[in-house]
Amino acid sequence: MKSSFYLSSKEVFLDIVDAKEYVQLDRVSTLYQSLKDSVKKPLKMILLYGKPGTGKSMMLNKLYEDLKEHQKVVMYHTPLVDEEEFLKSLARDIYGVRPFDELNFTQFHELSEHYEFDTTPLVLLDEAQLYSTALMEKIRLISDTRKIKFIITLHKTEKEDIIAKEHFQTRIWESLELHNATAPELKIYIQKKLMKNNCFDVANMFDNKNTKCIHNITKGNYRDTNKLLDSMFSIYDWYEDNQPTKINYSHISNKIIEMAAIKTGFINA
Amino acid sequence: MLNIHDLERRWLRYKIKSYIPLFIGSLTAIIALVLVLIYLPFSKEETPVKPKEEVAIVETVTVIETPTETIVKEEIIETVDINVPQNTTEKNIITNTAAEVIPPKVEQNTLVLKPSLHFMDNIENTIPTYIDEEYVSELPTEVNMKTKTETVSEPKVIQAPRKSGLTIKTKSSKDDLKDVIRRFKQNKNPALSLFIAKRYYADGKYQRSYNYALMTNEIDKHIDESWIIFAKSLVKLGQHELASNTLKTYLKTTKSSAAKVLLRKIDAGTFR
Repeated sequence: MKSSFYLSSKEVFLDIVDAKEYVQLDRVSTLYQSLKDSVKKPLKMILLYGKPGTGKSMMLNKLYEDLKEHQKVVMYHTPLVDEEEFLKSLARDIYGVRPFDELNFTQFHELSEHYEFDTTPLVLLDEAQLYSTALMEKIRLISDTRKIKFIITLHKTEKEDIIAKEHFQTRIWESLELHNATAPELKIYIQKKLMKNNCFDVANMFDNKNTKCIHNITKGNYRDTNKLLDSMFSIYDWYEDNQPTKINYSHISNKIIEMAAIKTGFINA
Repeated sequence: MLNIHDLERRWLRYKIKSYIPLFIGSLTAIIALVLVLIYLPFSKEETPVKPKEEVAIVETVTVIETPTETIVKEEIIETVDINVPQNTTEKNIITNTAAEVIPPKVEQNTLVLKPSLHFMDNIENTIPTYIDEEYVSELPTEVNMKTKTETVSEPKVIQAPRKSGLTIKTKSSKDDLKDVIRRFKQNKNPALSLFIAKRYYADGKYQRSYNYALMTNEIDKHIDESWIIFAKSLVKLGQHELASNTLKTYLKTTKSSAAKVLLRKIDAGTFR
């Protein structure tokens, strides 16, 4: 049974984007509320940006889950590289039209003129930095018609900053930046995540020293933290099966955290 | 599949690596602390050495400026190894600094400070250095001989008086005489008035030489040279009888051979 105790904890930190696993932290909660408020404003575009692993996709997913009951919302997790495919997908998902022939930008514009919504339909584009420049230009033009509102997420890199400047500088009226977690936030994040999955004993095993150690390794990056803890619970599971005397059940060992960091490559040893 | 043993080994290596900088830092700090504790007392002892050097240098200065022969002899022996400062010409300044900076040698300083009075008493010995070329041609050999015989035989000792002699030569004799007159007016030293009388006599200013010789005799009646200059000046001024009588009076109190010779010459009329 003890083996499942650590295994269940390990599953909590699998790197999947699930709105149900969304953890509200003070700073993230404030940011999310700002995003929801921005959606209500008559903005053409909203930019959500930050370093990889800061929770952009999770927040976008959470927003989708929260809004889909109240308004027309479409979310594209993976980028649609082809322009026609993108337009066809929009026609299908927003207007419910499945064009068999080709659909160019002009035809899509004419199509959008025939539909009216109480609230402007919202399109959520994750990983927008992967869209081509030409397609981003079309997205900009569509947003200019005010028939569709876009929320896009971008990784904050130098290159992506240029994209943001070139294509959205004059159009995005709201931009929100996500940051890595601080050490106290990380502790809350880990414990909340574990408690959501009924791993109360393991959640209580984390103290400030553990979270500080984890924060030093992952710099508060949520994705890296998930990866590290997944690896850590794998090691714990191994000790549980093979050398249970080496495990202290009252608290998490920094040694095992560091071993997990070595295993995952965060520490080069 | 997890290879925990390999992971543990890597973790151990990582921990050792992570503690190495800390260990080296601590070790360096300890060594630095120990070195500081060891060498701090020595450095404290070394610091007072500098003032000693300064004192030594000043000692040499005092040696050079004191005109007294006996003191010169003692002081020079002490300061042979030290680089003698070259600016020994400014006597008054050097005397002041010497008096200020030599607090440790109290007894010697009192001796050194007193010489400023001795200097006046023994001005006779320094007079030749102030005399112009006429006098220098007559007297320097004696003076040099004196210094050579009386001071230590080491060559460095001889260098100091030579330098002072050189610098003195560069001075204007008129300025020197004015300075000596000024000093005489201040302290009424018979050595100075005798020097002035001699200078005036040498320059052919016999009335003045007579006056200063007279002043010298009034201050000190036992200076042989002063009486001789006085008599010579009178002869030059045409007062042969007065000169003769004066020498006769003087010879009653002394057995000066120089006075006798001069009296004989005046009486014989060979000295005019």
